Amino acid sequence: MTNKYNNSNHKPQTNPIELIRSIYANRGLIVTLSKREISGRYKGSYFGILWSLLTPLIMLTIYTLVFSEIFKVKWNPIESAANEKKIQFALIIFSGMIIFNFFSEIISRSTSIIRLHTNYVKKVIFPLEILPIILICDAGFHALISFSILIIGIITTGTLEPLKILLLPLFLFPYVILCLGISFFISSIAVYIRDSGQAVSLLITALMFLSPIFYPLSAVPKKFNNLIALNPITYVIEKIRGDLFFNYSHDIYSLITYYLASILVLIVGFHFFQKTRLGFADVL
Amino acid sequence: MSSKKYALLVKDLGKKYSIYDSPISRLKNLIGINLDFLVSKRAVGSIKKTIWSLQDINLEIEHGKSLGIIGRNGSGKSTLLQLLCGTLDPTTGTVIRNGKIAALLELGSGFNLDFTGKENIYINASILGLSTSEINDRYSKIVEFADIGDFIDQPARTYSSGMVIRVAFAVMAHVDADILVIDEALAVGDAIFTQKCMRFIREFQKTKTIVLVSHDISSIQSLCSDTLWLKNGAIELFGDTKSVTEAYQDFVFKELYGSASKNSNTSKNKLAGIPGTLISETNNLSSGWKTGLCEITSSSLVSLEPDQINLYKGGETVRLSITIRALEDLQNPIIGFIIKDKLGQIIAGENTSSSKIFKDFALLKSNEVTTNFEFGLPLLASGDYAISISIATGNLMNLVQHHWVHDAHIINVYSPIERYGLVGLDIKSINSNS
Repeated sequence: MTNKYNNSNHKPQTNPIELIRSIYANRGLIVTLSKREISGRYKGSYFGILWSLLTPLIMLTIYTLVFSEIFKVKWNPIESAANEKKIQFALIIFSGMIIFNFFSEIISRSTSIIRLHTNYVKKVIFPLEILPIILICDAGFHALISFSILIIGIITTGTLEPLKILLLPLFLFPYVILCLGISFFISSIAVYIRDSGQAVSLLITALMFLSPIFYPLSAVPKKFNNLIALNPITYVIEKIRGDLFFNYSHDIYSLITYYLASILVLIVGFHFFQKTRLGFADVL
Repeated sequence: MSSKKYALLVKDLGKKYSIYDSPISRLKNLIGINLDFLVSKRAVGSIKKTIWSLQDINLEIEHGKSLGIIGRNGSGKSTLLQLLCGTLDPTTGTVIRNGKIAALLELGSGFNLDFTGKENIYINASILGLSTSEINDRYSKIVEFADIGDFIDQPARTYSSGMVIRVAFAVMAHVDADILVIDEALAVGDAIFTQKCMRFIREFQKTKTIVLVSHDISSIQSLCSDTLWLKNGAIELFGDTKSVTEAYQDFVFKELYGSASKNSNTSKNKLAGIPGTLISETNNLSSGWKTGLCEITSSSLVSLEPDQINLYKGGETVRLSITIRALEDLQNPIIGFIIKDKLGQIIAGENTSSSKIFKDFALLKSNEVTTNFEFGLPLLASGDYAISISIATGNLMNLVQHHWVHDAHIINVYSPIERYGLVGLDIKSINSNS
């Protein structure tokens, strides 16, 4: 903080410590802008913030209807039909959707976040690196509401050990780190390459079907397992479900790998963002 | 650290703009990879050309000093300001700022139009480094300064441009900045608000530093202690405001009158007995119109006060000489001039119809006559004024202009005392009786 204004060197620091410093120094700004982002989304609408609750509930209903009534899909074909409730099926899908929606919202909005704030690039000295963080806060808020609905749903329809809820952050934390890293990369590259928006929306639609959201990972043929494991959201969906629904035991090594990979993505993404932000003002 | 005594310390500052083929080439250049050679033959050539818009800038501004920046359009003033603020990244050199810098580059440009005035105040103030609790403490003061009433809770897109400026300036005034950077922003806003801003700025600059860019020499002269004259991206002159602005004025005269500098040499010979005389001659007789009956061949404006250089202060005796030549035989010519201010308002004017000199006067073809007007220059408020000259025939009811020259002379008036309105009064005395 002592050196805050005496920045003789303009070149943005690219190390991750700079990111932590910036988040701390700009915490007031992050809170203000995130609040504004969350409340601004439904400003002027009749239901207001209720939409954050209604949207996942309605989506949950639709998925239940389509998959268990029309497609008559069973989550676990080995188990007898009597053991599996329709609502549990819906909740399993819902858990996957929460994880996926968080990802898709952050990534798709990253493609326009810098362009939407040209003023902050060219006219004022603004800590641009907090823009992806605000995206995370906004999407995280909505994910939290959805998670609350999910947990209430699981508790009312079955049993859930409270300890397992405490395990959730363990899996979600590296996921947030990963999304932030990807967001840094996408938001910067989208400034230079205008096609990014189209490519990313296509990629997101593909990911929705290529991730184990509507089916268990075990349903995927063995030969594709390696491929689907590369998908950044597969691991966290499987872990969350394993934790909440299936009493899977957790393997510490894969978790450590996931942590390391996520942190690496964040470091590289932030590095890329800081390296390329110097050109934003020239391109926008 | 010895550099602490300076508010701004600029070393070898330069900004190079590279023109790229495409944004992607720029991206490649930034991350330091160039894969073009893999795809095509045009490995070199992603950079089309480079332009140095600013080079070799060295400045030292002590705390409490105020810097004015002058120069013609495109001389690099705005680039320098952006570099000083840090919104642009320098190609070479460094800028050291000792203190919090607040910029009014474009007032209100950090505003999000969808947000309310209140939200914008919080966001702008946080960008400028205030914590939420500090903003809470100052919020009422900021609103009071902005003085836009209930609009503060409306989205900024419903604001008039004046209101945006009021809110933006109000925020700037309450963030405890140490260096204030202002780019021609003071002219906007209504008079009451401008006065409020000026009061703030004068108080501010007593202890802190202001950097001001303006084309208005008189505001530079009244606000800044030091002035930097930029020319083609380099420092032409840097020093105390008086000497730099005077040199700049000289330069502007020469630019305006082009080859007239040659003429003024000859006229200086004529006026050799009066050294240091303020003189302006014009050859710039092309803007305006002619009928072909007669033409103005030369004109000069001379201050008859001794030792006056560069600036008029109003009230001095000047001589305006206008030489005309008859292209055809000319009957009863009327020669006149008007003095206009920056906005084109006519301040004063005179012509020969009121005097007897051209009564029943005929000028034969190809002959010339010079008319001299000697008058006391009005007590003009500080600023630039233009003198247009003309030759006409007829009477004042039915006047035919034969040659009219727009802005034959540009004069800059700098009044040492504040003059209210268009012209000051020649106060003889002020008494009070009780």
